[in-house]
Amino acid sequence: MIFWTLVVDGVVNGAIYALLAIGLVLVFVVTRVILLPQGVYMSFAALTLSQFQRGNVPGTAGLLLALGLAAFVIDLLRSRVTRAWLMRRVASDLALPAIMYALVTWLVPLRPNMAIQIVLTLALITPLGPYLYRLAFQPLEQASVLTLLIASVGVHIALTVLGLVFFGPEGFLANPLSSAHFEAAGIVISGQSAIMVAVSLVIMVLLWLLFDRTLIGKAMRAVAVNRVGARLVGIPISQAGEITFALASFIGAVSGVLIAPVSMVYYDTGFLIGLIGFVAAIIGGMGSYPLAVAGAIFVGLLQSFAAFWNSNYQQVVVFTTLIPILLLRSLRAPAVEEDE
Amino acid sequence: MLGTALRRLLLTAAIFGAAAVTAGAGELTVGLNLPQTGPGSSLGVPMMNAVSLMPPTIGGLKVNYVALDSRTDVTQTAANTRKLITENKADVLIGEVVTPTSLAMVPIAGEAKTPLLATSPIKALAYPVDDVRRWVFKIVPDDDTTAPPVVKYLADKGVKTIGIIGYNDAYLQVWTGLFDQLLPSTGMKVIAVESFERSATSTTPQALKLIAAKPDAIFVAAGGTPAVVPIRDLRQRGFKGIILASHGIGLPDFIDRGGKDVEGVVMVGEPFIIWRDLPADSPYNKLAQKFVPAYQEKFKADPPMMAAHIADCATLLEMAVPEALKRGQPGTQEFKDGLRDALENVKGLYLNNGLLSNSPTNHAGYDPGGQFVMTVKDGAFHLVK
Repeated sequence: MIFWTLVVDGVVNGAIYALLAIGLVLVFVVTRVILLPQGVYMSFAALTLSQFQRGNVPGTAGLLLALGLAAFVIDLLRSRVTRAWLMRRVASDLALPAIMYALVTWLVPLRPNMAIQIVLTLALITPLGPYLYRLAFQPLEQASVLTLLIASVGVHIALTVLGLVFFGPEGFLANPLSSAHFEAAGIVISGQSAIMVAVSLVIMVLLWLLFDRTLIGKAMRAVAVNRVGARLVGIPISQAGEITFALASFIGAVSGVLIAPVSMVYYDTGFLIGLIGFVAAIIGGMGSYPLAVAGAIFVGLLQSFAAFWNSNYQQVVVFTTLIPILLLRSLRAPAVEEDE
Repeated sequence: MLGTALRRLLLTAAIFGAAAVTAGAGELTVGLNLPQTGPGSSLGVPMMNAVSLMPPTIGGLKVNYVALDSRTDVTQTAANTRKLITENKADVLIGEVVTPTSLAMVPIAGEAKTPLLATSPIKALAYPVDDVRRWVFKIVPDDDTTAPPVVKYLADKGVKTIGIIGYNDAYLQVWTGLFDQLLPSTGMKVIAVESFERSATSTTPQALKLIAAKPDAIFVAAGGTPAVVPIRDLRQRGFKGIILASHGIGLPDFIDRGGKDVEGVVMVGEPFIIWRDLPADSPYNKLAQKFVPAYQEKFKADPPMMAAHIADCATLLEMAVPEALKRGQPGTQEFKDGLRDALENVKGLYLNNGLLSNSPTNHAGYDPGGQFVMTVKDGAFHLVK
């Protein structure tokens, strides 16, 4: 019975790592950015949700306004301004954040129900991705993976510090998504864990549909496979990057909503959990979604059993087990970066 | 929030700074180094609030309070401490709440032979009392002080076996050490010790393992909000026994985040947390009465434990300054020596943090009898009678 409870615990944690890993792989294959802030989206979403439940307007609402404005101004300076461009950017960079900000400040004191809180959280966090892409990564589109990584570290540090300003140093715990408990073969499974696994599965299926069945998805895959080729056949690389970042921040926000009620989230929690997601992504060679998911579940299970076996060595067991795996992978899959 | 903290700091610094310039003979200078920004600010801001309520004169001397922002930063703290000693000629220092920064003040104060009232819980601040630490006096009890009442409470409840869960760091070692030391004479024993990371998404495996060992009581060696997660997981996995936690949980944030999950959790801690449950003639109640209403009126909020540390510093100085004046005038080394000796020889002084009797070998001499058993009931700590 303890065995199966540990399995459930491991799979539930693995589901969160899997979402983070998918976001990382997605961004990496399309834009070659190793997106450290993926975990920050998660903690921002979790903390935003907690603030909604306390009737506070979270700092992320103001951040959205500021980033939207910054992205607008930067683009204004470097783009050829046409009427259509202006209409589109005013809508996406100025109107959208303003509407969201107004909506949040109006709704939050009215204490809306959980569903509305979640929708608001997702709507606040998801646009952060594309704004950050346009501000930090789009100008470096042609740069090397290393330069992009350094930019990513910079964005990550800036966001983490902002997180401390917005939410303070203490952790927050949100109300559970479901207080139901059901028993199967002697093990108690909480409704919350069931929702976590189910939502992760739904997201994975949706992503698969997107990449397999839609034109946008296929275009993004084309960019991932060969950037030069994709550009030659007329796929706008920047737009693919923007969409990818939006997807990644959406996935990050969903994982934040899922984890907020289960674990105490601090302004810097995202980095530590994101790191494990990163490890899972590397198990998948930073290129394969199913392998990344499998890696994430594996790490989740390993953590759970290691904590039960000897909690002092939990992290030691997890990370030492990864060394031979990573060694094996690097031997079998020689580096394929810098193909341009 | 940051804006108001900063403004308040600048204001405080301006008022006190201006006063410090005109500080002359016959005036006591108190130098404070507290975090107004950075991760420690949630602790430091209420302390700085309390500074504005400290008495304007102590032992007949006009007091100049010089308050600097440590930014929760070790380098800044070191610079501040030196500045307070050399430029402001502080007679006594008060400071820091966070572990690394509070430790950074110790060698500087010791080197300059200036008494330091240390407002952080770490034992190493004033232990062992050596050439440097003979200048440091702790305003917060060590875990050593709360451990005997914890063990007594468990023994009274008929507990035979204890499980421990704590942070995967030195703090857990402190408590397993204390239990090792105190349990042999009681017949109780520790049968399981588990640890967890601050960043852990789940402590379910640890909870399962502890429950499988079937202890009568579980002790949580963690403080503040991180202590909520293991307690919740223990309850969710069906642990029905006693749950005790170290006195680091005595903060409003703990109850706020824990909600229903932490109802019934027991801790041993400072009288200030439950002063409303103590009789009106209790010295602790009287001390709190002197401080709490004034704080509430000025800041429209209940003072947290940290704010009471500052009130305790004032109480200690009111005791020590008259003694020091017999040796010399403020601004002289003789006066500082006098303060140090008076602080070292304090006997049976009631503070918001407990009953203090220091000695040449113990600068955190809180009496275990001055600590109280309390439990979370209806969203607040209450005295266990």
